Amino acid sequence: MSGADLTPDEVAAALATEGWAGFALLRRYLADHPGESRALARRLRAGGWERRADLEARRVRFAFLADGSTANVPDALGLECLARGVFAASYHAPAGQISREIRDPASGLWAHRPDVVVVAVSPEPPSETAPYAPPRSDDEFLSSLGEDLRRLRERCEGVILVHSFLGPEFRPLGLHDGREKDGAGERYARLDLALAERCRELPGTYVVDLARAAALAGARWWTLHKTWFLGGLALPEEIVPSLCREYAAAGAALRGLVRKCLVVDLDDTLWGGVVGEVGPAEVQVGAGHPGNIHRELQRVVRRLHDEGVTLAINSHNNEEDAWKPFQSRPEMILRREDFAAWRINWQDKAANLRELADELNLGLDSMVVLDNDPVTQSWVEQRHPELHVLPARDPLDMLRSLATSRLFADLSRTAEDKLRARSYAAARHREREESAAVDREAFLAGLGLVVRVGRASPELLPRLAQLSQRTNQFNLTTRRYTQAQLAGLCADAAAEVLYCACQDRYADEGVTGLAILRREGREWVFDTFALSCRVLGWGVERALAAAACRIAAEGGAAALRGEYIPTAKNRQTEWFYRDLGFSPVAAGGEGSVWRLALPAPADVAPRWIRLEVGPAR
Amino acid sequence: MDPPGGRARPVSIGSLLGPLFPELDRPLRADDSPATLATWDSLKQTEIVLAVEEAFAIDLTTADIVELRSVGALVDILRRRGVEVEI
Repeated sequence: MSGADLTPDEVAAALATEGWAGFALLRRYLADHPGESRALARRLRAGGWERRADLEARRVRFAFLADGSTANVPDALGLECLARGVFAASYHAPAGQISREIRDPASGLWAHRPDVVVVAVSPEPPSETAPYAPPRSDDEFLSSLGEDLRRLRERCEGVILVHSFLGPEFRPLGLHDGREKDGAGERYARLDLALAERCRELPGTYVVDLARAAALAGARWWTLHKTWFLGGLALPEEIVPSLCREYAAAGAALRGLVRKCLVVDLDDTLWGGVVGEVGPAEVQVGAGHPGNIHRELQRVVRRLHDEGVTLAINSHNNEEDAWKPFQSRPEMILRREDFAAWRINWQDKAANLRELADELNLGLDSMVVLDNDPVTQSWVEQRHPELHVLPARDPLDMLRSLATSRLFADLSRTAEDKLRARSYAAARHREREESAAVDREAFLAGLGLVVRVGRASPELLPRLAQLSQRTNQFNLTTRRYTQAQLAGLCADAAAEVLYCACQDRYADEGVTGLAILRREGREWVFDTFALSCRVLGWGVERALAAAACRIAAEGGAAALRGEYIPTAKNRQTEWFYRDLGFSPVAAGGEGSVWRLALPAPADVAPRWIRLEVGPAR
Repeated sequence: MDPPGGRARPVSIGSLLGPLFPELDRPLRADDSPATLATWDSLKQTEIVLAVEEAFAIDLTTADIVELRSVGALVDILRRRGVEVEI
């Protein structure tokens, strides 16, 4: 179905069905009908997807605390969320009631059990409904807001997003504003800095850059907009979609919906022109228009790679031709080594994408496609609605789209992200050795694997939260925990949060596994057992299980129980507990429960792994 | 599209604003106002202004919005601005 023929009714009907098809159709509708998002949102308000089997797993609960009304947020937020595969459920606290809502245990805020709380306050809210009346100094405002945030963080298990501040349009000092310490420019810069410092001290608390959102949206009259005076709306209409994109990205990340891999086309994407026709010397990349746009695009892609995004190529070309610009054009920023996998051939690009996903051991729902050809865009999206296909055709639009899409934005940013890119390169070296080694065990022994397992310490929590939220394939129960929830479990005497880190001759993989044990009398239970797919196949999961058995036995457990809850993605873990020697306790359509008496009869850790069990890393 | 030999049919205010009052089980009337419609509060007023501005690509002035206290008043405002509408 082509996007131009789509109707809001068809989008709504597709959203009522499980899976990705509805989300992809919605994105197509929005791309092909610019300016009609309000009409679509109105149609979608009627709902109709309540019976979707995966609705609960995809629902994100947002709460808004602001010094004005946020009634113009839900439509735009709903669309931004659906574009990422989640459904928003919003609570809007009464305007100006931030402190009360946070302090009152019976408030709507707490009843809503939010996954994401947005705090939008201003040191100088325009006119009557001042939240922190009477007027206060900036220091008083900051300490009051800081105290609110601290209390909110204490009780809230979700993510907190705090708006930064925008100064007033009215600058009575004129040019002198910049020369005075109490000029609005410097004053607001100080306020923003102080807010950033406070938020940095609170886990899971992030600043939303309001000035950037306003600039992207072209919102010119920040404090003087019609809808503030008319309806007390805290946010001008133009800015709402770009802010909602930030909120939605956080919500989707909480549900494990973060894109990890960017698949790029080559011709008219990484460079201008078709290399097979004009030759490597003539493709446009580097100084001068439009080669400078393609070079800038490469710089942006390279930055994503530096932050841990895996890169792949899907291109219709003769492979030999395609690598030539990488070899002979010094203006190229991306190198062949930056790509973890490629399909450069004349096959169907949708089939290529499937193969790339398999080769990289990633789901199609963690891939983003950047390809200038609109026919390819809509074809691969129809074949694989799990993909996020950027609708850009012009290289300048591609740049804008990468700058604003927020698809790779994860909530925790960890050292492991940066290691990941190198890890894929290391994987290729391992594969070469594996094909050389006749015996797999000899090969694994040659890797010199060291696995460390211990109790989680606070500095590991961001990474462990990321593992909890993003791991889909080797995840026995797929329970998602935020950093704050993990911190709570660490403090809980009836729970153990264990990390697993590993390294081999080729790479330090960092923290790649998470196990959560809960004490239930003399039997302990695996609440969570998750392992990054990067280290699958080496026996690391057995080492982590062995360490958990040891820790449970030392803690006085007589037996350990494990649960398998099936999802669309974790089939490979179905028999994990059986293979470790656990006996079945219960099984059914909803999964299975297994039990092992402790101490374990035989150590389940593989011989080729050196296992170190100890306290925090 | 214009019917042959005739003028364009005026846009219906009722069908433009109807979706903003989903609880109403009858068409909007000229005398509908905050007095007859309980949900016509300041937020609804804002939504009406935004819907009208978007539909007709115009910018309502503060005086227009102050005058906009009923469906009939909106029709008058729009006619004055050269937008032919019916209820």
